Amino acid sequence: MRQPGVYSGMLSGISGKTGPHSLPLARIKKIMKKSGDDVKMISGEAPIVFSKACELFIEELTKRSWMMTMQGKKRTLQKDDVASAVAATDIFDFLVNLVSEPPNTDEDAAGGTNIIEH
Amino acid sequence: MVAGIDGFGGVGGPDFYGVACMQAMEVSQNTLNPIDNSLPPADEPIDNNDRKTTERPGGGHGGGGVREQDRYMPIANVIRIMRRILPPHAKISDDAKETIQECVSEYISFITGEANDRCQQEQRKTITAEDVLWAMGKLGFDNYIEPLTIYLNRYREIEGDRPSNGLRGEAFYLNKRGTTSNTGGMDYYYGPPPPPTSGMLPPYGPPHHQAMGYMDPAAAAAMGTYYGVGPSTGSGSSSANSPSQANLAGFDPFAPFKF
Repeated sequence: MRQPGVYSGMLSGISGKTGPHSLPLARIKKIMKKSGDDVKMISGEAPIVFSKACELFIEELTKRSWMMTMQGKKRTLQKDDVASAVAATDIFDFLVNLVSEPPNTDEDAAGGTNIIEH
Repeated sequence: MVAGIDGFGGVGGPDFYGVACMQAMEVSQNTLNPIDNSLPPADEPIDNNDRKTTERPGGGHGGGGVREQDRYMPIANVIRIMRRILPPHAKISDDAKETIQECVSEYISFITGEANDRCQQEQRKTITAEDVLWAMGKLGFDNYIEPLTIYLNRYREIEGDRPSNGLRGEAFYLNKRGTTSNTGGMDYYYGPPPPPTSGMLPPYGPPHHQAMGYMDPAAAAAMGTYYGVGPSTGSGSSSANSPSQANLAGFDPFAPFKF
């Protein structure tokens, strides 16, 4: 049905600031402000850089995680694979605590689809 | 968010309807617990996750105080970016999706914190794009700087009237651009489009079609020989052979493409 045009990524993607496929800039800005009490003002261009940077980051983390999935001869990318990728990559050291912390029981009860019982 | 859903509809329309049917059947089988049934299994196609942009699993225990939607990128966007890297048959568990979603927020905070430290040291109040790029370089994400700088500069070119008032990263950018802007290393990320100086863009869409555009005359000639002459000589008929020889003499490199 609706497909992105050849130039949609080039032109509408950033001139409109929020292109059809880019990450929401307002959300990025909120997360930036939350990262410290002393964060005062943020240039309008900073979230734009982040919107692209997050894409690169997600792609790299996904790629490295998928390599772990393949090493385990599995076909489903699991949280463990993300944790292994983080542990194996120096620049992802800041994520170690996040991926290794025990799962939140609240969220598992509501959303852990592996434990649905009938 | 809406745009993201549009994109999925375009890519995976049939899947979506198929899954919706399956879920409808499931619900009708067991109407006692429709909420559980409406949750997709761990390995569903991407389309099912659209609903999670507004309703994360954490929402099950009521309003917990902190709004999830302020803390994370929309899950549909995250999944769509993940799918760009993964092979089509790949499956992603829900907790892996959420983990990566959380990692993205952590990444933004991590980089912003470093950029903010620099601003404070230099007694500036505003975190600029250059501060963010600098922080990425300092924290080990050097690979991102070049594609991001290209992206940012293209944004500035399109925005146009905005003056670039003494930008810190400009000298660095010009250096890098002159030497390495056309490296194939950028392909690794799939993301960044070509730099603005790369000349004319191919007017045909998907990348795999570009091979036709880049075909040199020699290769086209080879194809012309193969498709034009090959079958007729294979038939062994001398009468068919002579016209094709003449055809080869008056070589038309686009002959194979005229149908």
